[in-house]
Order: sequence, then C-alpha cells, then structure tokens
Amino acid sequence: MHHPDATVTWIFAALLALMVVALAMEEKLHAKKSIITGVTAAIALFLADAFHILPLDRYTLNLGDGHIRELPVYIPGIEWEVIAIIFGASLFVDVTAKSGLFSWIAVKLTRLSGGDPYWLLFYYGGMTILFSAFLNNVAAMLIVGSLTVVSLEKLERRKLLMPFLLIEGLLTNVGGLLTLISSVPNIIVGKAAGIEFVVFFLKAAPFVVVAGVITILLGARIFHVRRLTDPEEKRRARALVESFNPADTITSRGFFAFSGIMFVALVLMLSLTGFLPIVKDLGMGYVALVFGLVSALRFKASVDKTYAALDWDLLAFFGTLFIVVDVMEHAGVLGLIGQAIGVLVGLGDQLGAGSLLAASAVTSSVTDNIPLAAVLANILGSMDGVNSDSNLWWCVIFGANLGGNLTPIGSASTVVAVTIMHKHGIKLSFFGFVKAALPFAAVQIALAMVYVLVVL
Amino acid sequence: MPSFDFESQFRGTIRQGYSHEPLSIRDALLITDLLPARADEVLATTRRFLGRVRALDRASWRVTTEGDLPIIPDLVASIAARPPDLIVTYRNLRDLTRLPRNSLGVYLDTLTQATATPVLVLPVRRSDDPGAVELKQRLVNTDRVMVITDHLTHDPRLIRYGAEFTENGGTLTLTHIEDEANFERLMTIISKIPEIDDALARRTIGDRLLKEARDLCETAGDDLEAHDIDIRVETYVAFGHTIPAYRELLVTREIDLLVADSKAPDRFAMSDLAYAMAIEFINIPILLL
Repeated sequence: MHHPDATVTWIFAALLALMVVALAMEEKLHAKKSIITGVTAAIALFLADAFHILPLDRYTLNLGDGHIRELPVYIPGIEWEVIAIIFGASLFVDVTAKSGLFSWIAVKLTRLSGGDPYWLLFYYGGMTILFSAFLNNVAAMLIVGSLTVVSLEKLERRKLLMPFLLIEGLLTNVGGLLTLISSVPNIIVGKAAGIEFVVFFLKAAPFVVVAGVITILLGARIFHVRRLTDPEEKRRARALVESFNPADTITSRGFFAFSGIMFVALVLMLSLTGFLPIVKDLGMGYVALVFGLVSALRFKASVDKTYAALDWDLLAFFGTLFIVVDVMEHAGVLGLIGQAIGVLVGLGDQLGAGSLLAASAVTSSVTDNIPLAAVLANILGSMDGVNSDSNLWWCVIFGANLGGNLTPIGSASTVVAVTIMHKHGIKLSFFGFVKAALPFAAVQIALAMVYVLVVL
Repeated sequence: MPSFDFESQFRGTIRQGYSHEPLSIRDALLITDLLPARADEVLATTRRFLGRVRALDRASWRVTTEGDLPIIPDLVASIAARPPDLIVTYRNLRDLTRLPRNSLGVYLDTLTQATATPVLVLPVRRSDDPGAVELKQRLVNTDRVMVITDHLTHDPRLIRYGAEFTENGGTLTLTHIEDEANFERLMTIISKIPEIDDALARRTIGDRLLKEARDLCETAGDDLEAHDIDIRVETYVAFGHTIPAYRELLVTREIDLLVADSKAPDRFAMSDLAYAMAIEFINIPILLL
C-alpha cells in the first residue's frame, strides 16, 4: 500500500460525488439505495486494488497460536456493530409490531384525545417523537401516519391530513435525536465518538422536549388547528373516536404482554449495556441481536417469513456504504473533506461548531444523512483534539438529523410522510414541502445551534 | 422498518356502533282490497298482533278498502301527499292469483320501492284459502322478532324497528348470514392468484366478514341494554346458504315478525335478499324498510 497521489484522490472523490448524486436521485433512477452503494463499492474496491491503495495486511485475522484467518477485502471496512444493531432492532420491531403493542398505544391515545384536533395533534406529535426514539423514524411515521389517515377520515377532518402528516414527518427527525439507537446517524456518530446510551439520552432529551413542543405549537398556529368549543361538536367527536376499539389491535394477549415486557427490557438493557458486566464486552449489537432473536421465537415455525419481511435493501445499503467510506479513507478523499471541515472548525469554538452544524444540516437536506454521518464521523475521529466530550460530534448529530426536515427527500421518514399524502390524493410538490417545512426546520436548527453552543 | 400494513389494522379497529333512538308511529295505514267488513277483520287482527308494540301506543289507523283502493300511481301520489309512518298490507293486492306464490303483486312491489315508509307485509290469505284461519291464529303477538341486520349500509333503522316492534319481555334476534356460495366463489378466484395465500385469505377474510356483523350486533345489544329496553337480544352470525339458513332460524326460533331492508342502492327494484325472503317466507309477517 502507498499513499495515493492527488489525481487518484480526485478520481475517488468524483466517484463518491457520483454516488451521493445518485442517492439523491434514487427515485428518478428507479434504483434502490443498496444497488447504488453496492455498484459504487464494487468499482471503488476494484480501483483501490488497481491503484494499490488498500493495506492488504488488514485482511488477515490473527487468532493466536499461529492461526491466521484470511478476510475478504470487503469485510474489515464494515462497522459490524452498527449492522448488528440495525438488524436486531429491525427484527425486534417487526415482530413486536405484529403483537399490536404500538397500535394499541396509538388507538388508546386517539380515544384519549376525545377527537379534538388540537389535542389529537399533541398526542400524535408526542407519540411520533416517542416511537421515533425507540423504534426508528420510518416505522414511527408509518404507524402514526396510518392512524392519522384513518382517524381524520373518521372525524371527517380530511383537510387537516396534510398539516398533521407534515408535522409528524418533521417530528420524526426531532424524536430521532432522543436516544443513541433512534437514528442511524446517531448510531454511527455515537459509536465513533464513544458516547454511552444514557449520556446520549441525557444530553439530547431536553432539546427534543423543547423542540417537539415548539414544533407542535407552531404547527397548530400556522395551520389553524384549534380546540373544539361547541359542546355538540365535542360530543360528536368523542363518539366518533370511541368507535376505535383498542382491543381489536391485539391478536393474542400473551404475545401482547410478552412484547410489552420485551420492549421495556430492550430499552433498559440498551441503557445499561455500558455498565453491566459481560454485556458491556458484548456490546449493543449483541443486545439488539438477542432481543431480535428472542422476539422471533414467537414465529419460530415460520421465521423465514419474518426474515423475508426485513428491509434487506437498508442492511445491504449500510454494508456497502461502509465499504465505500473505508476505500475513500484510504484514497485520501476523507482527508480532503477533512481539510474543508478543518477550515470550518478553525473558525473558532462557537462559529466553527455552528458552521459545522449548519453545513451538516444543509448537506443532509439534499443527500442521505447516513453517508454524511459515516464520512464526518470518520473524519472527526481522526482529528486531533476531538474527544467524546467535544460538541463537534453533536453538531454532526443535530445537523444530520434536523437537516432532513428542510426538503421532502432529506430523510426517509419525510419521504414516507409525502408518500402517504400522495397515496391519499394530497398534492405537495418538492417546493411546496420546502415552503411549508422551512419555518419549522429553521426554528429547529436555530434552537439546536443555541443548545449545542450554549448548553452542551 | 415494519412490513406491516398499519392503515388496515387501524381501519379494522373501527367498530360500527349502534345508537338507539325511540320510535313513535302516529299514523298507520292499512291497505286492503277487501270489502269494508272483511277489511275491519284484518284491521282487528293487525291491531291484536301489534297490540304490545311500544312504537304504536299512540297510533291512529286509516284503512283503505276495495272501493277506495286507487290505481297504483294514484295510491303512490296519495301516500306522498300524506305519508303515514307505517303501511300495513299483504301480497297480491287486486291480483287474480288465488295463492300468493312466486310474486308479491304489483301493488306491494311498488309500495316497497316508491315510498320511504316501512311496509309491514301480513301473511293474509283470501278467505277461501284453506290456510287462512291457521295464519290468522298465528298473528298473536311480537314476542320474537328477528332482524336481518345489514352492517354494510350503516342504516341503524333495521335494529331500531326490530327493537321497537319487540314487545316487552320478548326476544330480538339479530342475524347475519354471510352467503357461503359467494364466499366460495371468491375463494376459488383467490386460489387461482399465486400472489395471494389461499389459506390466509380464507381465514382472514372469513373472520373479518363475520366480525363486522358480530360487532354491530354486540354493540346494538349493549346499547339497547343501556337504554333500559326490556327485551332480550340474541345474536346469530354465521356462514350459510342465506334463504335455507334464515328459514331454519324462523322455524327453530318460532319467529313472529321478520325485519329486513328492501331498498337497494341505485335501482328501483327491491334488494335481492328481501325479494327472495318476501317470496319464500309467505307464512310470516315481514316488515320491509
């Protein structure tokens, strides 16, 4: 292996730029993410070997006592802990969703609102944040968005569908900041920074609560979502939401109770992973895999169907993306981007960090925030003086998550929100979304800057 | 990301509810093609039969006899001009047919579709019919009423009329027979579509078809109890061949009055099931809404 010259670095930089553009144009290209990153990874590995820039000694694993195992070239670059967390958590969420646990909570909250649109917005907003925090943003948007469609139809308030779905879409990215496992950028950056689950939660929670409440209040104001005052209207709305029967979401009481217990246990275990002996060594990926496996026992005779239902595109996307990032590091591309980041950070503690957050937000609004997080985490990890306490990590985390609220393609959950709108005949163009979402995203990003720079 | 369709699950949690409202029939019209004396007899039989129906406590009766039964357009016009709350009549008015077989007669056919007023079809026969006396003796009370509930039309009137026509202490049977022949035809089609799992479709569609009807019957039972209506509510929801299944229920449960919906959307003709029942069940009073 030798250090690549500038021409080689620029060739790989062009390849990375092409991949980012292709990911942004995913729907136009009719190609799934994993295909785009997979093709890029294949080309990158081929070119890397051709230019002799890969450290080939990395591809052997010394097992001790003279046992050497050779590793394929595409293995060492993959963050297997991240893949394990995503695989285990996806399996767990998919099985748990079938128990009706999340739907039961959703229907209960709908009834609790009494059918009042104002309270419904608050309950659905809160539910979106919590589900995004403990499931993932896409699952949260699917659950709350689906219920929003059904309940607003039932309440004969279809005009509120666009505002509700938009606000919920924006809140998924706020809720996605709550825990280390709430979003993939959190997992990637948190892992690179060495931030513990509990520390992450304690630092992010105050912002999530304040940003969540402000987003809902702002939404109610902008879209004129008001409380019902007429007693007859209130009575009718209550009668309509009471036709939702939460018991109908439960297919088996035993499975439901088991899923509830498992869900609480998973959150507790993830919180305590850094403190429990043995588990500490095995890591969060192991915890997620075990919980996924135990939940899959419910369908042990047909677990192949459960596996088939997983989002393999997402998992393949992560795997191949890590390979691309690894090659880019050896090709000097990350060093090149790191120089630009270094200029930003060099602007000073406040201005530098603020610029990094803003740049992360703007970049993640038009590209996938996962490659952004992977690249920036890699760069920050190799920068001198950036330890786990540095607020630069948080700039990337906040920027990568909240930037997704600027455009409809900025995050997977806002894509889901817009897809639900289109499915139900609501036309919202790219610029229509930007116009509607901008006040919210601007307030959230400004609030994040103040929080990261002043509080953290 | 869960592959589960949450929207379907949430739609599935919505129970079609029933909310009872009392019924008051002030103006009842008995339409006959009989001489006045014989018409009075039928009126007496009818009033005895409906004597303990709460909704008819304060009803006044009008009777149309042979002499003043107009031609159909005039009858419809006169009903439109002064719509009664209930029409009581029988099959084959002014028909030459000796026995009520295979048709309702043009008067009854028109009355059920051209007016919004509920029509009670009595199993009255001409006096020279050998079964006439026996039938008259059966028109005693409305102790056992059966409603063919229709959860698809969301029309609460069927259960409302059924409950109000069941006398105090009586039994209201809410029924829904899901047509097995139609279901099997659908399953045969599904068995030819490789993308749809046959066994799953049979189980889930079957369960869902019955659940919606059962939910409506159960919520109706709860609501009637909440309104302190002194009747017992029973539910029968199952797959079956509709006419034979309903016939068996009428016999085994000794039903005094059957309540069904006769209106079909987007057409003038009577609904298929109501027409079939009106033709087949000639020995039982049927209240057609």
